[in-house]
Amino acid sequence: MEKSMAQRWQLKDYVFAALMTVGLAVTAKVTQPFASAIPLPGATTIAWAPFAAIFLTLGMARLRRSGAVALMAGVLALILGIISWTISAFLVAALLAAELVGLVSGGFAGKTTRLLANMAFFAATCLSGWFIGVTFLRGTPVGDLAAQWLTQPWVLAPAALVSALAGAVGWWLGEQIVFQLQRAGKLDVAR
Amino acid sequence: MDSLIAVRGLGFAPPGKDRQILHNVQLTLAPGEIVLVAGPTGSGKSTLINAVAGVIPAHTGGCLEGEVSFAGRSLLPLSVRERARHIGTVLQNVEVQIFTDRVREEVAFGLENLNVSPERIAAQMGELLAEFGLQSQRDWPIARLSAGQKQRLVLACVLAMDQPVLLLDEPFAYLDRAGAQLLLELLVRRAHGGQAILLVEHRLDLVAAVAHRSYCCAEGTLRPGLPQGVEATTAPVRPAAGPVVLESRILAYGGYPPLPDLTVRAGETVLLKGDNGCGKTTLLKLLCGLLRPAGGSLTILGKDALKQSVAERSRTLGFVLQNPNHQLFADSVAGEVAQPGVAPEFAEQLLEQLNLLPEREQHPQSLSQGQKRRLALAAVLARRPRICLLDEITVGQDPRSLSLMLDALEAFTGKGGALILTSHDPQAASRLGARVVAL
Amino acid sequence: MSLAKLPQFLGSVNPLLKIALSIALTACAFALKSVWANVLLVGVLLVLTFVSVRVEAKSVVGVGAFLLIFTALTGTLSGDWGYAGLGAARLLVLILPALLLPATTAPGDLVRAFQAVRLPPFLVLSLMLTWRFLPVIQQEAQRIIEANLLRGVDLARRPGLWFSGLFTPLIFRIVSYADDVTVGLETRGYDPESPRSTSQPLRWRPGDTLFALGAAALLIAVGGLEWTA
Repeated sequence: MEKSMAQRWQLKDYVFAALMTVGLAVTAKVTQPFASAIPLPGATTIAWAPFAAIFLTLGMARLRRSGAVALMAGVLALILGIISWTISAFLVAALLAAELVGLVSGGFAGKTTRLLANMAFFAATCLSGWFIGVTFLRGTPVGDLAAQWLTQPWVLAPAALVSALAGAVGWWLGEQIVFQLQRAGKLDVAR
Repeated sequence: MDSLIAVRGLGFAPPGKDRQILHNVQLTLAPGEIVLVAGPTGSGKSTLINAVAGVIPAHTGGCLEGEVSFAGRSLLPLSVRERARHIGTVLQNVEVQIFTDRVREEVAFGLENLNVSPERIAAQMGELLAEFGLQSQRDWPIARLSAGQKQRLVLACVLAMDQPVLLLDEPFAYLDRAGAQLLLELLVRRAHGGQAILLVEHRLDLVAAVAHRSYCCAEGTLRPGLPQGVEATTAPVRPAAGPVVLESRILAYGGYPPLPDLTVRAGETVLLKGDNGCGKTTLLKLLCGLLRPAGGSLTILGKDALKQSVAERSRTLGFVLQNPNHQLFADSVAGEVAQPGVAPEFAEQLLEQLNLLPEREQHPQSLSQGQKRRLALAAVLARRPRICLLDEITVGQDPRSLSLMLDALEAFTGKGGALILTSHDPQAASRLGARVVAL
Repeated sequence: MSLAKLPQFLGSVNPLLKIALSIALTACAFALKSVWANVLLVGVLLVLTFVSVRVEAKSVVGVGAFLLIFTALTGTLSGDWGYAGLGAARLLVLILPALLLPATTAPGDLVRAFQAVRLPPFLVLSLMLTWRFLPVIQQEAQRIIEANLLRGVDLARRPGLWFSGLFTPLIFRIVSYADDVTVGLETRGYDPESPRSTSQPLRWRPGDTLFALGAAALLIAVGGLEWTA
């Protein structure tokens, strides 16, 4: 059953997305000790990505349409905004990147689109987190020096790539669960 | 008396299946009536409630035939939400009908959905909380409520719209005697007030007396009368002759009154009995190590268990949890039992004993609740524990499914295993010849 | 106002006002380069935190140790101890509002605040559901972790089993909740497209004016210190 782009969002879609947001929040909490062990700003999402991407993949597979990632990550951004708007900022940047992939592909019904959206999402979290960190550092001579070092392409590019790959791992795990859910008759999804 | 709800020739086949799990069901429900529907797990009782509430087929898919009407008007074109104006539904898991974190906010939530003015909400809230015995919990966080209080809160919230019909799906499942009595009185009062109540319940000992009519749901049809119970054999308390396998002394935990000392012998069955919140599950968790006691001693198979981790204790001690969904990890029924170190023949034998062989290739999460409970038990017994802890395994079990589990447990104690269980169902414990320890 | 009444006072302040101040303070953490401006902010925030939030001793030790290590590292690497101290103060300005706002704002109040700013109903619903089911799902996760322990699997020591032992069963639970919660919402008469009333509408109170004036005074003082520096 193909979900048409024009079809309206239903209550069950909002609820499913909200529960996936809960999953994203739980993974953020579970991986927090690992994330805080990564010393580079933005790159901390490498620890979160393999697990968070499971929920993003599941949400995209079930909701299929453009807006699915925005609904999941946008709500998380709103909630985490009460902790700090910097977290909201990098989440918004990431969801825009993923939604761009969805927009180009006409939704998230395809597995490849979901893979690319995940990679874009986590590369963007890394880059925007990096940008926020560097902005925080700037303004003093030492901070400027550290920021200059951190913005070197040979530091930045590998971090973004690893983050995207971590998202890809999560996508692969997410698709495994999508398969299991289908086998158990618990999820009507596109594959 | 004219019926409020009329179900005529109702049939339902789940998505992808030709065989109907409900067929040609006829039922009426008149104002002031309490109608009880009982029957085995998977017989279609909840399906019937869901069909009247509108959950089926809108949320599940599948093919529904026949007619469901309210006061002569067909309900079939209406959604669950539209039907909710006439029919109050309390689902099996009340947690999914709670959306805020405070009692008063929860009552207000339903009224806000109906766009009731703040002044009227304030007035109505007071009345509802008083009627459902929750006035003193008005400002409590919902997490602080007991199972019975939560059940009453959801009932109050659902009935805030003052619907003439009420559907309840196993509302007594997790309630102790006192909580159940309170709920029962409330339902009788509501029925006297003219509300029509359709009740699906396994605990017939509690509800049969208040029902005006009773039906048995079996093999997809509804027949007048209650189900024939599986012969309730009462085994005498087995003499404890084997060696002592578990001994606890003055175990203390949190704000609980002193927990009883236990001396459990091989082959013995012990039932922990007491009201909700008295510490039965807490005691089980202390025994298996999920909780650490503030004081006391615990010896399992001659060793100081308090020095052992949960994982270490798990080599000799198995625990069947209240909710089997937390305990199923594999992607097939057979895989769930075939854990490392479990002989394939023994795994097969357990599946056969618990009547799960036909489902061996299925995903565990695709099973019915009763089957999941049996599978969780099989997965625990497969590890050949010396002591098995069981937390409320009889909840939601039909007599046939329960009987299979009790057979397996009897075989376990027959081979020298020790059982420590909690259950609100006195029949299950007496069938196992359990020694009762009161909390 | 006595210090004892402060937590109650902060809890009753309009959440939108607190969010606005929190955003302003985070911006300050990025913009302020004056030591004294940061010290003033940290001082006020510390007082508010210790009075309003029950802070555990181990958290204080943990954050203190982190800040000390951070300062020592930055100082050693840069050779500029003034810069290291300033960095630690700015970090505190970033961290403390993150503790204060959630601790003094009930989820219900926040939902009302978002309703008051006309956030689309589906977003308010999503927020409400996320809040409500976050502890429920965490509890589910905890039970699954315990069930693993009962099989002799300690997931904390075996991250390799997280996927099959924790995430797979957890996701089955979440998906099952998603279906049931939809039905639950409908049985409670919820419709994302129908108008809803609010039993306790968000109103501007005298306390909010007091809080807004206090916050403005603090920001002006901080701005002054930054300017003179």
